[in-house]
Parts: sequence; C-alpha cells; structure tokens
Amino acid sequence: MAHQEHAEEHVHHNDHDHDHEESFVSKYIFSQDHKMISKQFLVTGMIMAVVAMMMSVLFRLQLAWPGESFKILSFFLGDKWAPKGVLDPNMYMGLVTIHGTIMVFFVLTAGLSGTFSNLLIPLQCGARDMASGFLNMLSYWFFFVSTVIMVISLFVQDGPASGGWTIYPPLSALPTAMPGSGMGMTLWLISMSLFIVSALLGGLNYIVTVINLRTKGMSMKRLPLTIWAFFVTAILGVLSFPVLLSAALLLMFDRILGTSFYLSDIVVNGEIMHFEGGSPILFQHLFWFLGHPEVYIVLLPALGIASEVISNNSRKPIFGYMAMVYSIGVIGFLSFIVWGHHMFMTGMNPFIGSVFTFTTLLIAIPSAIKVFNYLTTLWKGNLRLTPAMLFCIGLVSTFIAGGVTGLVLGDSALDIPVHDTYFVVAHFHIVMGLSAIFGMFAGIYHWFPKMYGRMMNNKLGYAHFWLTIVCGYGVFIPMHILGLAYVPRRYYANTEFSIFSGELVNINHVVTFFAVVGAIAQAIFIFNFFHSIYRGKKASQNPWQGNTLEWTTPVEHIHGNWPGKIPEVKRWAYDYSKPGYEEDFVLQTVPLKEGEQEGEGH
Amino acid sequence: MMNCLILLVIFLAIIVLVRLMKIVDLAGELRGHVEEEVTHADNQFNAFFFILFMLFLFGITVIPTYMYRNYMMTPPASEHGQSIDNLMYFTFAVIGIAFFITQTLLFVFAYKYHAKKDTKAFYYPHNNKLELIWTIVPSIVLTAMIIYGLSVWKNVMMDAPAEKPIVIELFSKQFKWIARYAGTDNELGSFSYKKIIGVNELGIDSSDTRSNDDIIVSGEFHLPVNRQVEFHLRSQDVLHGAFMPYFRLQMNTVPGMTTMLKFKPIITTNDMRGIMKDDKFDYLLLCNKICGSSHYNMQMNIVVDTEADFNNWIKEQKTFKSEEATKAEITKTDSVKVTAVLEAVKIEKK
Repeated sequence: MAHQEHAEEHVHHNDHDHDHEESFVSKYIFSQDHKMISKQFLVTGMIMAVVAMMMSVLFRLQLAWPGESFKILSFFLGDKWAPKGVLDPNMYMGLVTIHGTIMVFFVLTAGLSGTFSNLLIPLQCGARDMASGFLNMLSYWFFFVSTVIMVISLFVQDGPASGGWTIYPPLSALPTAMPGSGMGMTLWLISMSLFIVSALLGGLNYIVTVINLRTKGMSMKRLPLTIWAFFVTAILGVLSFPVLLSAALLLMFDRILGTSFYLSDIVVNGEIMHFEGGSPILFQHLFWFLGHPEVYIVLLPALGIASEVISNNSRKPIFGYMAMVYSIGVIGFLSFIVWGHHMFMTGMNPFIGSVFTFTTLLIAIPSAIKVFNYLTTLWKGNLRLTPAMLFCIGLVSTFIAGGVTGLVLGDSALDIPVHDTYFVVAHFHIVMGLSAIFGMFAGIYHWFPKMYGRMMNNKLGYAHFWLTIVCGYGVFIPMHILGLAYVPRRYYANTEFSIFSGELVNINHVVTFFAVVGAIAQAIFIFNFFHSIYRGKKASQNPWQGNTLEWTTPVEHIHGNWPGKIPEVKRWAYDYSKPGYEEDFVLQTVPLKEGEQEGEGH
Repeated sequence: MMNCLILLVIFLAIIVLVRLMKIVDLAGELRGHVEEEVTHADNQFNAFFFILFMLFLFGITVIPTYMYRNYMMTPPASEHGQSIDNLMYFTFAVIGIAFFITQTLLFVFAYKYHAKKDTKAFYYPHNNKLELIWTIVPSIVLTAMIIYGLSVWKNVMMDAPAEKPIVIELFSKQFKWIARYAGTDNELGSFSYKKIIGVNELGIDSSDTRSNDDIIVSGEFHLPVNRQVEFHLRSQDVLHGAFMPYFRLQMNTVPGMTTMLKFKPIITTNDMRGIMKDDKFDYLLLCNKICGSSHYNMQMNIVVDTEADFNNWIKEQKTFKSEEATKAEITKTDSVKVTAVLEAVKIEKK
C-alpha cells in the first residue's frame, strides 16, 4: 500500500501540468468524488458486516450447544472470554449487542444508504457531484472513525457494551451493574455520537442535492423510485438521528456527571445510589423516536432499489409509479408516530398503547400496496433473472414474510405473550436481516458495472442467492416456533428451564446449522466481489439496457460524471417495452414523439 | 475438533464449486459464442428453482409448525389468556392467507414470465381500479383487526375487575424475584429504596403499621385459583421484565416507579400437570428484560393452589413483623454476618 502510494505520488510530480490528475491521497482516501465515497462506504460496510456475521455464528454455537466447548470460540475470544472454549455469559451479551449495533447502524444504514445514495443521487438526478463534496467526505470519515472506535471497544478489559443494542438504562448507565457498562459502554456512546454526525452530514447533502441539483427536465415526478426512496430516507434520518444524539448525551451526563435523567431510586450491589427523579422510560421514548424511523431508514432504500431493479429486469414499467411514491411518503410519515409499539410492556399507560397499535397497523396499508405493485410489475413481464433480479424477488418474499408478523407484534394485546421472545427476533431479522440485506445485494450486483466498470460473475451470483435465501429462511422461520413457545430472547442458555429445553433444542440445532452454512455462503459473494473488481468481464456502457441517466455516463469514471454537457431529461424513468419503440427500453434523454403520452398516461 | 473439520470440508467444497464454475465459464469463452449477460438457460434454471424454492418455503413453514404444535401457545391458565389466544388465531388466519396467496403469486409469476425469446413485456404502467382495490381491502381487514385487538387490550389492561383482588408485590433485583403479600388488611406497607439495607431487602418502612401483616417470600409463591390477583411490580436496580407466559402476562419492572398487572389464574398447578402430561411442570415467573450476566436464570416458581391449600400455606408464612423480631434477635447474637456470607456463597454458586 505504502509503496503504491509512493509511486502514485511520484507520477503526480512528473505530470505537473495535468492539473486534473489527482494524487493517491485525494483520489482514494480523502476523495470528494461521490463515486469514490460510495465505494468507501460499501467496502467499510462489507468489512463490518463480516465482523458482525462472525459474531452471530459464535453465539449461535452457544445457543445450539450451551456449555459445550468449541475451538473456534477460544480461537477468537481467548481464554478470558471463552475459558476452555465455552462462551462466557458476559461475552455472549457483548456479542449480541455489538452484532446488533454493527448490523443496524454500520451495515444497513451507512453501508446501504451511504453507498447507494452517494452513487445514485448525482448519477440518476443528473448532477456533477453532491451539493457539497467536502461534507460528503467528512460524512465518510466520521463514519470510519466511529467504526474504528466500535471495533476498539471489543478489546477493552471489561469487554464491549453488553446491554443489548438498545442500551436501556439503568443497566447501561451503571458500571457496577455489569462489566460491559464500563469502558465498553463509553466507547459505544462516543462511536455512536460520531456515527450520528456522519449520518446527518450525509443526509443533509442527499436532501439538498435532490432538491437543487436535478438536471433540466428532471421534475420530481420523473425521478426514479430509487431517488424518491433515498430522499425520504434522508429526511427521516435528519429528523430522527438528532433525537438519538440527545438520548446518548443525557445518558453520558448520567454516567459521567452524575445527573438523574434516566435514573431514580437505585440500589446496586448494596450501594444506595444518589439518583432521584429520573425515568428510564424517558430514554426508551427518545431511543425509539429514532429507533422506529431507523427501521424504515434501513428498509426504504432497499425497496427503492427493488423498484428500479424489478422494473428494469421485468422489462416493464413499475406498476403504479405515483402510488409507490405516495406509499414511500406515507410510510415515512407514519414511521414517526409508531415508536410506542416497542414499549407496550414497559409500564407506559395502556391507553397510549392503544393509540400506537392503531398507527402501527396502519403502516400495513402502504406496505401492502407496495407488495401488490411489485407483483403486478412482474405479471406479464419478460423477466430477465439476473442475480440482482433474484435478490429483488427474494426481497419481496421476505418483505411479505417479515411484514405479516409485524401485525402480530404491533397489536398490543398480542404483544403481551410474545414481547421480547424469539418471535420478535425472527420478525425483525426477516425484515432487516433478509429483506434489507437482499436490497443491498441487489444494488451491488446491479450497479457493480457502474461502480467498477466490470461485471460480476453471474453463476457465482446464482449460487450465492440460492444458498442465502434457503439458509436465511432456514434460520428465521423456525425461530417463530421458539417465539410462540414463549422462549425469551437474549438468554445465554435455555437449559435452566425444563419448558424451554427438551424437544425445542432441536430447533436451535437447525437454526445454527443454517446460520453457519449461510455465513460460509457469503464467502462466494466476497470472492466474486473482489475478484470481479480486478478480473471481471469489462462492462459495456449500458449492460442492463436501463433507462436512467447513470447509464449515459462513460464506463470510465470521470470527475463531473458526464464529459460534455449534462444530458437533459425528456421523459419518466420507466418506459420499458413501450409500444411504438423498436427496443424494449427508452432512455430518459430521448424526446417524446409527437402525441406520445408520458408516464402513467397510456 | 469435529466441528472444525466439518467447517473445513464445507469451505473446501465451496472452493471446488468456484473452480468448477470458472472452468465452465472458460470453456464457454473458448467455444467462442457471444454471451448475453443472462442466457436463456440461466432464466429457465432460475425460474424452475423458484418453484422448487416455493415448495421449500411452504414446507419449512408448515411442517415444523405441525411437528411442534404442542409446544406453541400452550394452554392459557388465566381468565384473559383465552381471549388473547383467540385473537392470535384470528390474526394468524388473516396473515396466513395473505402470506400464502402473495408468496404463491410471486413465485408463480417469477416462473411463468421468465424471459423467452421473441417475447416482449406488456406495457402496463398503472390501473386506478386495481390500486383502489388493494388499498381498500387491506384497510377493511386492518380495521377489523384493530377493533378486535383493542377491545381485548382494553379488557386485559384497563378494565377494573369486578371483585376485590389479592394484592401482591413482585420485587426484582439482579438476579432474584421476591414476592410480598399484602396480608390480612390487603394493603402493602410503604417503602423507600433508602431503607434497603442488610436484612430489609425490600426497603419496607417498619413504622408503617400496614406493613406489619405483610408476608415476604422468595423461591416460590402461591396463588389461590379463581381469585383475582393484582401485582405491584418494583425493581431496585435495573429494568427487569416480569414474564409469566402460561398466564399470558408480561410487564417490565422499573426502578423509581411501580407498574401494575392484574389477572385471575383458572387452572391449579396440579391440574396443569395433568394437562401438560408432565409431573414436574411448574408455572414460572421469568425475567424478560436484559438485566445482566445471569439474566437467563432469574426465575421464581408460581404455585396455583386450591383456595383451601392456599389458606393453609399462607398461614405457615411469617409476617414482616414477626420476621423482623426474629431477625433482630439474630442480630444480637451477631450471626447476621454468617448468613450474609452464606447468602454471598449462594449467589456465587449460581
């Protein structure tokens, strides 16, 4: 690396008069080009995903064979956290916590939004770059520093934060309550604060770019659905992340300055604490005010990608474009007034619970509309089953499977027996761990030629998809059974209870088997990804015969995206297989014929 | 070791697969035919796999559910439990129908409409009537679910019970549950966290006469069948979750505030042992909110007795006042340190 850097700098010195030639540092590290920043987000996100996935394999081993010794555990965790190869209960909690944090924030927020908003907003809107390249660069570097701090927190003496990714106080506020609430928790809070800065810088940039930098003719009604999804996602992030920051700050005050925002009447280890008058429930309100929009921050970009990829590969316009736009908007709005459904069992007033039940179940309506529109887009299409398309079909399947169980959990009365059981774990993993991740995979396979100028290998893509979806469902469908047998989540072992051991243990064996195979299957993807960057088949300018503007840019990346003038947009993004045209796609830059109706008009 | 070997074998298998695919690709290139991004064979192969996959998905949904039917939603042992279970069955019927219809359509479409040579997709950008149908139908179904769900919720959580309940306090701390009966006056004595010192585990105010007849038990607590119970839930340190799955009851305990639950048990432990065909069956109070390293083992047995058995049992228990007197006696002989040490050893063992 250092050698390469040197060589690049050397070249730079010789070419003094070529002022558009960039140094290695400004091109690859402190880059302000949205295409490079998007790759930085993607690769960092992928590395974090591998870390978090490995963690899940480690604790899945413990859950299937509690108390048994595994070489792999002592290899990764050492004698302190896995004495004789048996996972330590505190480390189990730490792994669960950091797995959740990394996956939700670093992979599915930064890795998904950061990558594809950065790549596609300028390219599909017809802009030379983001509104502020500098803030965009800062956004990545804040993210990078926050991931580094989170990884460092794994190695501190008392272990990482381990109160669950929701870090509810008082557990997370009192270092004497559990080892993970010491240094590990402090680092978690610092890391997360930096992450919020990154998310805000990124989000503001996306919003400004979509509003101000669309090319001539690109009205809001002509925007591809990907951009609509990223746009609403960015708005959700900008409105909700500051609330998480305030929650984290108050928690830091309680920890460091001895204030009592979340704490009251506490005795730990025989010590009577001075805290009085605070409320742990306040933290939960603040946390879930971000936490629920966060679910849609994770999901909407995936749905946006699916709209684009499904339409492109069905060779059909997306069915009900305006309905899709409204659905995204309504989901975005509703996501702000449903946070209480995480708190039915916290002692919140039951009447407020009923209000949240009402708003929560309403979200099913726009979600159902989206699903039916995807189905109708497939109907009578000419489906080209690329790996990206397979992942999108998988996304629709998992979105249904994970969505319907939301109706159980969102119903306050039904939440009583299944709250905080494996039913919840199954539900949100199918939505976020499968659906949103599938959207991310689809985006990578589809836009890889735009990012790296080469194609990924299709055969490996197929193997990756089929193993992933079979294992994904193999892990999470059986978990519903554990949930309906009322097995609580976040238990280090279920052996202490006869009602949860016995036959139910077999389910944990099945789940862990699929989890391990599924994790290994990701090696196919990682191999395909890095191999294709260097050895993949060279991509043509428009390999998927798409309509949108990114396919009018040259394959070779240049600063400013288009060599000459920015193209002008003359029509909407979904004229696939339109009658009257020879080809089955019509670029957005092609003018309307005389008397031709645009968009949803026939 | 065995596991490592298995992992190694799987890993090698994948490497072999990768190499094979590479060879197939290279062979194709050598033969020199110009490739499209997705071949006709790819489309057929994946379309066929979607049908196979649909069968797998339905299989993995239905078969284990059938196999484990006796483990899920075990018989509800409280008065309101049946109404929650009925709502659950109704909801599962609705979402089950939605699930199977939409998944079938999805995979059948994916199979049926895979690209064939010389076909063109049908240009069909929108249809207001269809959009209206799938806005209105889900709205009607959801309205029914909301109304049904909220009526059950109101009944379980908000409606005042017809009869006067037995008041019991459930006190939680890392990693133990303690129960306090309100005694003959059915009123709990007042408490303060500042009084939680030494033997006074619950911080009870001994100057409050209502506390005199309170009865404190740990390990297990008893309830009379068919009597309304009201739990007052407290915590001394972090959040805990009082979870009694067989009674379909759950509520967090929150330091600094008292949360409430009410219910009526309708099946005694003995009868339930018969129903479950398990002589060792016990109702349990679990902790269901992450609370520290022994969270997974924070439990207390609940015994539901007949009215007569319950009365006998409660008569044997010592009241707060008499207990305090004995404890004071012990303190004089200075053996409190010994018990404290014993306690500590017990906790350590856990």
